Amino acid sequence: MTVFWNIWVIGFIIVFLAFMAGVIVKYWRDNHSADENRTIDTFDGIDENDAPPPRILFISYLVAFAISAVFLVLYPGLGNWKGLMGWQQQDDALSSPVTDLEIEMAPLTDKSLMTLASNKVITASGEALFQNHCAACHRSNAQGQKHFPNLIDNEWLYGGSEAEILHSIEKGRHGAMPGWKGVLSDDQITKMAYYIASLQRRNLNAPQVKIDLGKGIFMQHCASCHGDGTIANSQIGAPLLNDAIWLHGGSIEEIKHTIEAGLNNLMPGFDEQLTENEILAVGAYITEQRLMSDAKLAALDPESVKRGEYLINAGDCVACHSSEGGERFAGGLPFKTPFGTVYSTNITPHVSEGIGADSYEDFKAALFEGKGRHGYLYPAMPYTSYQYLTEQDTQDLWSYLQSITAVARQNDKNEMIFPSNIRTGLLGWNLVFMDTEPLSYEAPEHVELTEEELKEWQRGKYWVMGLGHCSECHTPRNIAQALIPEKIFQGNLIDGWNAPDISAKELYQDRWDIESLTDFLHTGHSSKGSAFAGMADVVKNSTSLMTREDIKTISRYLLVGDKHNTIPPETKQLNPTGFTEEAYIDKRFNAYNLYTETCGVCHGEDGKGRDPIAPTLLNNGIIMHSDPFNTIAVTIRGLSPTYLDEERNFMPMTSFQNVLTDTELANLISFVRYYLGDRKEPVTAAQVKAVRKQLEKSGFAGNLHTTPDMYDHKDSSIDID
Amino acid sequence: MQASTELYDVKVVRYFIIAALVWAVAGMFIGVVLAAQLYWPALNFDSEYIQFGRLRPLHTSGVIYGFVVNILMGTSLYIVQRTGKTKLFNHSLAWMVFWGWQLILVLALITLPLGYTTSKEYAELEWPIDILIVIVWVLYAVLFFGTIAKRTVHHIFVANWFFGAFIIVIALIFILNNLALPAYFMKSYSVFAGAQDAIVQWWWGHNAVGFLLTAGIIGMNYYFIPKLAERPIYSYRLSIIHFWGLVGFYTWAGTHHLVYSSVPVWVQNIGIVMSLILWLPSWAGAFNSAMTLLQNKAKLKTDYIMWFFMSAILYYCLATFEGPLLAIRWFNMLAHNTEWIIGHVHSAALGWVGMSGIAVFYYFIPRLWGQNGLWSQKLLKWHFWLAHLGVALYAIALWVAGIGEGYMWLAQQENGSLAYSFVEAMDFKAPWLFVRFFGGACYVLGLLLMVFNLYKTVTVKLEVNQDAK
Amino acid sequence: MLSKDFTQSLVILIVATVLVASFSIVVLIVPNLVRTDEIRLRSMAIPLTAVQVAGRDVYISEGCHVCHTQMVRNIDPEVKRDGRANKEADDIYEYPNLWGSKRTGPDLTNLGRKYSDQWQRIHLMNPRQVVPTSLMPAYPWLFEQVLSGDDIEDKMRALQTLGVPYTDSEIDKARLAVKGMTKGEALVQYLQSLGQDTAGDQER
Repeated sequence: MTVFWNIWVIGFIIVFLAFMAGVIVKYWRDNHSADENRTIDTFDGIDENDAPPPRILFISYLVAFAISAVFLVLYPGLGNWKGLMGWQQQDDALSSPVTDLEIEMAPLTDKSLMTLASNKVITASGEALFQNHCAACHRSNAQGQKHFPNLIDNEWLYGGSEAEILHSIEKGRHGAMPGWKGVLSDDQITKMAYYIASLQRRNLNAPQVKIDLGKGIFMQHCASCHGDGTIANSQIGAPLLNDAIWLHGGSIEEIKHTIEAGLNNLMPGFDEQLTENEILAVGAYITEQRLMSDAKLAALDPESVKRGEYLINAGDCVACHSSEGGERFAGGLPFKTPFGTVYSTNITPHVSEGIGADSYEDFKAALFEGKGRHGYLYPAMPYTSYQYLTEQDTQDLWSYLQSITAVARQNDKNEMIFPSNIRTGLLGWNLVFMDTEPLSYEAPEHVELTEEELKEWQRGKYWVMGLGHCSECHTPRNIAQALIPEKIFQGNLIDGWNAPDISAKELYQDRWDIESLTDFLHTGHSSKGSAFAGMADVVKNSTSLMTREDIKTISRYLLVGDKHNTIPPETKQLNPTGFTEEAYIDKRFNAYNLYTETCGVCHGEDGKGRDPIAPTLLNNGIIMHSDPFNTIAVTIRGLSPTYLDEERNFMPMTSFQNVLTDTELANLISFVRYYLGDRKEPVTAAQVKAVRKQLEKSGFAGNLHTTPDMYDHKDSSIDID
Repeated sequence: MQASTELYDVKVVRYFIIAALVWAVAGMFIGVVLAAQLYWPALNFDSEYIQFGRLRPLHTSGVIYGFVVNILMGTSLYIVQRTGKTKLFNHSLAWMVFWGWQLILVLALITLPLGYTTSKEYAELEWPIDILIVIVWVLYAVLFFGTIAKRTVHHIFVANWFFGAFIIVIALIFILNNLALPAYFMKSYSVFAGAQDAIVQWWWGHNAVGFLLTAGIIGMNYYFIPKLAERPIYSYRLSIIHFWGLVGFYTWAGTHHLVYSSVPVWVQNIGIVMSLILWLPSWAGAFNSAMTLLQNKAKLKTDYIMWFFMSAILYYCLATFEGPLLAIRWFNMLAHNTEWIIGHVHSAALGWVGMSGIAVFYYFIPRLWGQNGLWSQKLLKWHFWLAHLGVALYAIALWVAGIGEGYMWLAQQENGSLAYSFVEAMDFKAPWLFVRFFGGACYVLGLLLMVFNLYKTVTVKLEVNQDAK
Repeated sequence: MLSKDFTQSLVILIVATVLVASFSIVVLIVPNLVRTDEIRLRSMAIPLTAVQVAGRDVYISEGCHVCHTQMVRNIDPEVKRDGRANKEADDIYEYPNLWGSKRTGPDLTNLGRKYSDQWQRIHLMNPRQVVPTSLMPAYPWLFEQVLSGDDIEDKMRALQTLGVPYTDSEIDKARLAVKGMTKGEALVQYLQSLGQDTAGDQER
């Protein structure tokens, strides 16, 4: 401020304070004249009395003026006057640090990150800096999130040497990839995405031919940076595409989006914001976190991890905990229930997005009691089955889950309607519907078993009732979506298919035996037909990965049955004859010609199937099944290939939705079931109509046609009640 | 009362009071929505119109310009007539002020959610509306001072000094703070930049509190407290010291909002000194009002409207103690930008302004409509305790949240490294923001009880009259 | 004398009130307003580009200043957290100031050197995607609404009149620079400019 304005300011402040002080003094001196009981004036009935203001007010005022005057001499306040105390506002602080990072760093001779990482003083500073400057992108434990890399997994886009790490912090990094939208067609990008996704083991329902085509396109356009996808380039930050780390999301949709839009990934340089020592401290903190993570992984018993992997396959956890074409165990599969949609969750060890912050006790509570850390789990999670797991198996599962790659995929928000969106209500569900009795392994009463068979049966029961959670699909549910224990294994409608009745009685009637059932579960193919739809996924992701011995125990248990699942003594086995002479002229159905024009083209005029075109219908478990639902549904929906076995990839089955009438289908199916399945009860046109309507309503009907793009049309977002 | 309606212009007063009531409920309800948004961000509904940033100025404007200005205009025009023993200076002018002001409020209600804002706190409205405000304000000043000029009594009643100061100073600071260069219709830039703009902005910001929420409300209470207590105003000369102390010191205090900022240190320190002195006239005034109320101890024992006034005075004492405290550098360092400031403002706004307003509504509305009692004393009692629960929860929650986060932002380890991240401080205060929401909701629930009670009072005439007998 | 008179004379009441209330204008406001040239001499501030001006107006319009401060106090822990403390001369082109009064979210004074554009976009679209416990509203519409650029010249002309040294050619090019850009992109460009001009000065 200029001298003039300085004088101006000081002058007016003094004049003002003096004036105010004068007013106070005047009233103080005049105070003796006041009288509490005197009324000075009256307005609208309100008297104004003349009580004396309390003396303390005047004294306080004068003390305040005096203190102000002293303050303004000692401290700045009067214009340019700096005050006698030499005080500056940047000297003020809430805490009084006794040292600083520079002083702490000075005596250190070895400033390698590995050494600094073991220096608690330095890493504490590094943590504070990291939380303030880095955590918004890399998350507070440096584990990263979508688009922002994990810094503690020993995988480095730009190299993991200390010099390279420090360079990344100081100067930043800039990774760019061009977008291909407009250059490549949507179809080409999709094929490329299939190829890229195929480099890693995952639940991918894409035909090999598309993957191969995708590879060609990839090699043509992407190889200069990515090679064939299995090599990284730390000069430009091109990542490995065949590992489980997907910085920008690993689902088919996300891979496609990345290819279409390209990337412009920037890590800002911090050399202008942080000192050299601060950057070292940040590096030390990251290194400390990485070493801690390494130590945690190293502490896992490799045998336990291996057993856990086997068990997690047996439990088919990946089926629910991965979205269609998404990263393994990263969740996101929608479950449509009458009460809204729940999404499966990320169970990778990511601290903020997955279950990385959970303890073993948390895990066990979720698995056994359906208690998540954020409230009760919806019973879409089959904790009612998992509660039967042994302690050892539970620990092995936990070991495995800790060992897998942390995926930063965020969980979806459930869309449950009121009041089912209040998770506390599930406590009531658990009380009413959850049977917490331990599983009984006592031999069933209705059959005689040898000692070895009993052992198999017991082991099989553990698999089926526990990890296998077979009953979750194959048992009907009540209105509260709870399984009905008396009807165990009697079949249920899921996603527009009938998860068939697999009770011992049905299996016995339909002539399943230990060999055919074991074949079916272990390979997806058997003398009695092949797995399709949901069961094909189960075989692919779960049962085919188990040992044949274990599968055999499952077959044993299912075929023998159990307390509520017996074979009544009068039960007769079916015995299909195949097409006899009489069949060709059977007037009741009058369907053989229709059969040869439709089914027979692929399944053979004799109905015995044609490898590798179509499976047998004669003796087929579905044709013989008491409920004709699936037989009807398959004609209306068609089927896509399962890719379970390259040698036996049956051709897609086309939909007859727009080809055959209800009556024609009823006759055809009755005919096929009569001769190839020994089911004498005819299927009526009304039955066909009912199934057709139901499938139409849910959008399943006729959605499969043999067109080149049929593989891309998934029925993932279709609802059925 | 029947006679008075002929002697004075009362109809326009009724309109103002109803408008004030409507805006009190609306403005504070929006406040509760905002509080909820801070706990459940999903309540922003991804909507550009009701997201926090746009809704917040609607809350402050709704309460300040809707509730407070309406009640002050209404009561001032009533009091100036009764204490001057004259009708309003000009009957049509009164209606122009009323409808002009309501038009401004409707324009605020429309433009703020649409994102038209100058960004200046409590002065967000864009320049065309500002011009309208100035015009209406000048008309109001003419009406008010014109009525004083034609009073038939010799002295000017104390309430009218405070109303006068409120009208003059608000005009002064509003105009200076809103000086802006229009870029085009509904978009302007302040003519001041940076640090200079901040000085002007907080000189306005604090005086809006000082003269709207303090001087104006004091004026109102100087009439209604003795009326309700049926006792004389305790000390005339204390009123004078109170008045000049307030007008003198308050205008300097605004720069305490800029402590540790980049404005010159002397500007900050003068603001701090004046803020501390301001404690004295504030408590002196509170003492005067309290003594007026306490003269009628018998009524104080039973009448919850008296209790509302008494509570308002106590909250005024709390807020005018807390204010100077927060101006002290050490406290300011801790509290600046934190929830504590919001808590401080609300213990004054809900406790002092709100409860004064509530007391006036309860006392004034029945009388304006020719009633003597209330429909339900029980509801009044419920309202009293709900309001207190609400303010107490609100204040306590934000003390904890504010002091907590202020400490966490500044705490350092031994070597000067920060002890907490911003997110940690945010997570710490989250549950307290819920408590604040709950407190605010209680307060608004109380208001709704009042609206219902007053509605019944005014409409169910017969029963009340019989009850009163 | 005064006490006697202002209670009886309306004129004295008005004049006395104006006079007493005006002390603060005389002392706090006037001497600071006349210092504009002096402050400008010390400033490192660089005027915002046209797109950044548009982005700043989005910042104002959405009420970002309601929850974010742009004022780093000169206190050690605050400087450590939010970077270089503001100096008086930093904000000479800030018409009006956006210092804010509440830090519901962090201070943004030096935001421009901390995050990538991509982070800013993700964060504006859904803050909880990157900061799980964030309270901030999501602003998806900012990336749907496109700026026409029709009003940017008027804005820059007004700022030029107030004292921001825009050249006429800068103003001429403004419309095309802004046109077609989403509000979100403009906002991100503004946010990324914060603190850039003073980056070289780390003296307290």
